[in-house]
Amino acid sequence: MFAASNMAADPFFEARGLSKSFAGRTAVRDVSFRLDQGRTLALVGSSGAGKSTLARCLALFETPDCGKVRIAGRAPERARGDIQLILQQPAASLNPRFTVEQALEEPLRIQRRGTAAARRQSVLRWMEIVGLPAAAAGMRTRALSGGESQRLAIARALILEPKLLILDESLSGLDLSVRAQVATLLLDLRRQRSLTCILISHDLALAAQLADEIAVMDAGVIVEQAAAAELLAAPRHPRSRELVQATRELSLEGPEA
Amino acid sequence: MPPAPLLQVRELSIHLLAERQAALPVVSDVSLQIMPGEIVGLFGESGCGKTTLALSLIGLLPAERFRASGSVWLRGRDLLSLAESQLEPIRGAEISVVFQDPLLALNPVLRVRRQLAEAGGGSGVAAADLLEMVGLAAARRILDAYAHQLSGGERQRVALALALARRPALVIADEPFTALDAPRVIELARLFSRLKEKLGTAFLVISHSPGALTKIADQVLVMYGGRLVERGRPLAVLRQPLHPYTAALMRSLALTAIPGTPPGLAERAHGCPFEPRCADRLERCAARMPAECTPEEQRYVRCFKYGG
Amino acid sequence: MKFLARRLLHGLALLTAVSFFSFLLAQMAPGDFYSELRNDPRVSPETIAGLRAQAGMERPLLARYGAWVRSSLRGDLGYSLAYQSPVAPLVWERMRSTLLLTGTATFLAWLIAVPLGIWSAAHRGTWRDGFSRMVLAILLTAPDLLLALAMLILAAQTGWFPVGGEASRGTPPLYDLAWHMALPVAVLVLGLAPALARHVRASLLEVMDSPFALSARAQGIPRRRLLYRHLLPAALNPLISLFGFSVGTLLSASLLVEVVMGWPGLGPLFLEAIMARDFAVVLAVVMLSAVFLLVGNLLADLLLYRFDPRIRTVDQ
Repeated sequence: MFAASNMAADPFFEARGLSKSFAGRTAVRDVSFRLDQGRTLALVGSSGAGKSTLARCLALFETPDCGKVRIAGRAPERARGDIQLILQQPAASLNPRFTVEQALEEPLRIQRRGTAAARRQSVLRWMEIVGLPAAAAGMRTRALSGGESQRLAIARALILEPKLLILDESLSGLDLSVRAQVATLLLDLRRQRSLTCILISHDLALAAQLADEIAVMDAGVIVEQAAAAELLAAPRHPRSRELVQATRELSLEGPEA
Repeated sequence: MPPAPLLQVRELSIHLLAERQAALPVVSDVSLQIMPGEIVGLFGESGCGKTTLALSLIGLLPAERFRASGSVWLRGRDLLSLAESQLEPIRGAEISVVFQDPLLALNPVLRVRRQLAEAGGGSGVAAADLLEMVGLAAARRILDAYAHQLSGGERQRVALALALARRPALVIADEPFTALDAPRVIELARLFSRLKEKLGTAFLVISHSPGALTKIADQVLVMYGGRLVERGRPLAVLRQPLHPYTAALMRSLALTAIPGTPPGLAERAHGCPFEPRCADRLERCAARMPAECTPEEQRYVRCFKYGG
Repeated sequence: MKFLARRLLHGLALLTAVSFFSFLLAQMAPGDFYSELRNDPRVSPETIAGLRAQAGMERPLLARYGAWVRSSLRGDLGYSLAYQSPVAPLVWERMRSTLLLTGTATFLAWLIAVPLGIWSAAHRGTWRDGFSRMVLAILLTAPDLLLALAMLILAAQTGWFPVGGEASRGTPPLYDLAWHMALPVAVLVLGLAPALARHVRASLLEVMDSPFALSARAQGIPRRRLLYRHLLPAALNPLISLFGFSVGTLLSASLLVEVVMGWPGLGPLFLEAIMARDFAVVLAVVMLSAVFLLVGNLLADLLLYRFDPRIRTVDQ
């Protein structure tokens, strides 16, 4: 069935012609893509491909040299917390002297949402959702393990109920078992709340497990974009082929290499 | 007569000394061996003691905070019994280490050329040759550069070149594949293989990337909670794991989470460290640690499911 | 080069601002050189007014500032009403005395502090280190004034050292100078060296704990070589800044010591000039100190540029 009406209307999230250069070097060049609500797009590529710069532009932390970003047809406002960004090192976004509770309450307080009591309820509820024990509320964020910190970062990002969640290599630094736990959490949350996500990762295998669509980036440009299964089965661009081939070589399936 | 192992670790235990507390076990009763020119993968997650183990082999753990027992035999000498002055000549010349973060592992104020010369210690190996060995062309530019002027990949290779400067028999690489994408992982893995072939260097590669280890390792060791729980050939261990932890870890690649968390230093009991999270646990698992057994040819595991 | 030019321009702008505000503040202070005379009943107000007019004190502020700037640029720093002589030679001579003192003291302080700091860092954790740190801490907290007085008492009681002054009759010149300098220099060194040693130690420790230090050890680099060829160069950065600061405070560091111990440098001159409202001298000393500070900073910047590759190659 050709969903012409869907395609003609504004997609939920759209990036159009984003470009960003630093000191003469082009980090992102004319990047455009669309994303429907509730779907997850993964941006994969090696370091230096421009993924993080793009993430920062999308999250409104950098002003692109040109191009625009639209959510539900309107320009997103950082002040409203429409778009939330989760980084690779959770420590980078958490104040080490804050307690878990303070860290979670801060975004609500800044946005002036609800009364103090309502905020406290939210904080406890989200701690439970991400699997942080209630007893951890009083712990300083620096005392948390890697996995716990990432859970906290996720809770903090989602407590404002953003329209879009961007994860910049958020699962990259984690141990395999911890990664599985956090990824499972993300998948559950996505399903329950119909979250729209952009996942940035150098790990194609992980991207394929978490995303509906994958866009391959190289030297600041999106060279190919397709549904996850399709990209893995039949990559077209040489860069995508290289990535898929290498990922397959490293996977543990199949006969001895 | 079978060839002699290059490195033989026997019942190595390392404790962290804490004030006003009993010493905490970081590594418990680990025995392993590395043959000359063998690539051994050390597979495990944070907190399992792999980095502590690696550092202890060449005595880089601060003596006032760690106490090691057991023995580490290298070419007829027990490294654990040597004093610092006797260990210094061994470091770099017989065993060297490549650390995880190349930016931090290179001196920020010395040029690459100088660092290579220092690492070479007057052994006369040309710096340009070293760079070529690790697959870096454009030697001039890199030799003249400072650490912050190089790309991440270049830095990593320079760090490797520094470790190889005196052609040690064994190089310990701590998480070299982390943060690399698949094509780079394969490139680096191939480099290790090439170096092994050309120089006869043995490698102890600490990694939690099973794919890379499968490609190059002759032997894989799995660590959990300070203990070595399984060892064997990589394809066997990683594709048909025997130990429940290894099996669970492989399943987590498919995003099936293992319930619970690894034990902290203070929580390690006398039995198997994985017992609290193990689906197959038996009563005796918490009471004592199983001995190593060999359920199959060239496969060793410490788990009561197979005996011990 | 562009870097240097920018910094020089910046420095000049700063000097101008300092000069103007110093001038302004000096004028705003109540009274002037002749204020004391008002208390003397024998001097009539007309005489005072005449004296003031003669000294040019009646002109508007900006005019006086302008005149001052113009003449300063020519090297004429005004006229000291208290000493009844041109300011420039007066200040110059005193400056030489001060620089002799502080130059020697700074040199000695660094000479002591650097090896001490290195030794302290290399022996971290041993009882020797703990002991020396305690001694340094005590010295650090002892006020200069206390040390100066202690030294003076020592001199007065034992007669081993002169109690003030730069020279005496009847002794060979160089020896005489050293003899007079000994105590003030000692006080200054005791004040400067402990802090410096601590900085050297801290900087070195930070480097010693870094991953590349462990890396170098893993490469088998011997301890001594590691310390001097690998770690020390990486620890230079904060020390270079400190060095610049040392140079910058060459004129101002010894003010208190000079006054208390009777060393005829800029310190006593400055103090007297302030008391007497001798603005020309006050301004001259302030400006000179500012120049030294700027030069010190500039020197630090240049040295950092030269010795720290991270700063030098930041645009590449």
